[in-house]
Amino acid sequence: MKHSNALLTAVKSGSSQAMGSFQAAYTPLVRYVVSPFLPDLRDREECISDVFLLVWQHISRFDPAKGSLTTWLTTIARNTALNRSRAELRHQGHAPLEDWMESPQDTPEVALVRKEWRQALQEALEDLSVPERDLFFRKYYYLQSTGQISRETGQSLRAIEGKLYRIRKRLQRQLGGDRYE
Amino acid sequence: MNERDFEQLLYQEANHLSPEEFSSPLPTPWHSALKQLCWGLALTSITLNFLYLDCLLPTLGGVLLWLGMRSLRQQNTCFRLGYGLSWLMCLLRMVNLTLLATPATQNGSLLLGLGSCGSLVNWLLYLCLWLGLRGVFHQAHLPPKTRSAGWLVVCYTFLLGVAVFPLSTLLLLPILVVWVLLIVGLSRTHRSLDQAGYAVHPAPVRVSNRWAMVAWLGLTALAVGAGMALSLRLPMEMVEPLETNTQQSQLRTHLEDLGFPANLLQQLPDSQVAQLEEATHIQVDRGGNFSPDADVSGLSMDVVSVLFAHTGDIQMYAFFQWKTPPEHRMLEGIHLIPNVQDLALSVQLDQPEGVLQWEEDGQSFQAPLGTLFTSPPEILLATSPQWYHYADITFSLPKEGENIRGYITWGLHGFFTMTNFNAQVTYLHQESPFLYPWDTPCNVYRNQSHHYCAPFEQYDNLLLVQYPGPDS
Repeated sequence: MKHSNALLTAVKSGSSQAMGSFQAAYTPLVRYVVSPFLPDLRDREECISDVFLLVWQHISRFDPAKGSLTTWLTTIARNTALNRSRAELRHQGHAPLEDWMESPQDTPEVALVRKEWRQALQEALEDLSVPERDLFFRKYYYLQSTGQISRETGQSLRAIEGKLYRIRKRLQRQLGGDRYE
Repeated sequence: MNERDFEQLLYQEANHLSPEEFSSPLPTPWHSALKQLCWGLALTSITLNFLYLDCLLPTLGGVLLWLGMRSLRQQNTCFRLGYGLSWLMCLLRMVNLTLLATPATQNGSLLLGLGSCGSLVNWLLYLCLWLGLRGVFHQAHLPPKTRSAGWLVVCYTFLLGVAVFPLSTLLLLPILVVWVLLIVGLSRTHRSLDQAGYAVHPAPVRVSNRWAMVAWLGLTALAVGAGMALSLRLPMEMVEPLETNTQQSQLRTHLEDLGFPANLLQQLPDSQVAQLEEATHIQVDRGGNFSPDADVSGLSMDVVSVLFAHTGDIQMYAFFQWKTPPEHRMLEGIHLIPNVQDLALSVQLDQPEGVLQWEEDGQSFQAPLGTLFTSPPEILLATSPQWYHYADITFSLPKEGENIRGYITWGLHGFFTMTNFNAQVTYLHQESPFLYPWDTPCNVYRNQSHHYCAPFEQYDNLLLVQYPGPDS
């Protein structure tokens, strides 16, 4: 912790050498977060470079009181990877998921339903057990494959698929999936 | 909305969530494996000698080590080697625990060899952990922070050295300190990977950790159970038909006149009776002077002392008989103290002999008291808590036999003055099948602190022998 604080201070002060050390220290974490979003190796490495460029540019905005450095870095890495993934899909002629589901022309009523649904989802997630919640975020937030989750948690592929199925069913029951249509 | 659409919706909506708000930390690919490794090493390195924790904890530790190494087996060569060693560790533990349920416990060299192998494998696992972690840092292109893991190797080497070369009790405190450092080092090692741990890529598993653990522990329990079941009774040696005693009838009459009970005398073969020709006095203790209410129902014990005034010798016979057929026929033991006051410095003791007799399918049989897997009866010297000579005999009753009876006999030589002494005969009968680790009934009786259950009922006969002196 002391070492990372000192490193962070040095990076904030504009030391490029410190930034180099920072990059070396946190590259494994960033690679871990962006890998599920970007299967292509070259895209992944370019994304990692983009992430550290953003960190260098916006490090002054990081406030330790609001969250840990790892959380801040993870958020930047994930969002950067997600944006890159969306851009890649559009470039290939596929419509990203969000383009299909959301539209700037949504009526206020649709927007309200969407907001209520999000709130209901948050409440439903709070009802899940800790391991179930972790599984949910691995799958739907960090976009980890079932295989990766299986390897990292020491459970079989079938066990993970079964648990995810039960989580989906439970959420669908609680949220009343057809309300969103 | 169908299931696929709902799932797509979840993917979309998850972008608007923040895991931190739900106290859901960032996944760590190494956390589970390293936690298992560290706990496994801790449990296999410590020994708590109560409530069977010296068996349970290392077994659990071995399985945790296997789970941790299984996860990391594809990471680098050291963890791959560690995986192989963890297999060996689990198998060694299983074999050791199974052997502890059998008479193999009497083979100290075998158990010592297995224990030594286990310690060596444990040390190698510490080494694999240290070098494997160094490999992970190398793969993450980061300088290694493996000092804690390195110190673990040093600490465990020290503990191994202490086990091999027993040191003075004054060094117990430093050993305890080293052991604490070991545990602290393990917890630091668990946290040491930090950012480099994201370079860890756990290997795929077909069987979940939970079921794999259940399988290992279940298999071990089955093996131990099988060992216990096979060791409930031990085969006797040299079972042969009982001889009919047709000779020495005059001598038998003379002994009966001296006071030797006829029903007990008829158990002795002619060869035994012939040795009693010079007997001058006979003393009989019937039914147990020390335990008038026998703990073992259905069993009676009588002791006959045959005194030879001309030579200063005494030949003792302890007869036992199951008047009611025993319900359990597992292990039996006889603990004999020929001379409680232990005047053996001036008295020579003969090695005891024993015979078991019974009827089965209309035929009479006999066998020497003893089994194929235990040492024959011999006089040994106990030094703790006090000095005394004793003999232990282990045997099993015949499965289908009736009218089971027998005797042990031992001789004392060199009594040349009027003297009294006490002899003690304790008969031990196994009532409960749970005996772990396996041990002879007499060892259990003498070392009662080692067992948390009392599978044996005991029948004591403490008798006073009054030797009248020569030619009196």
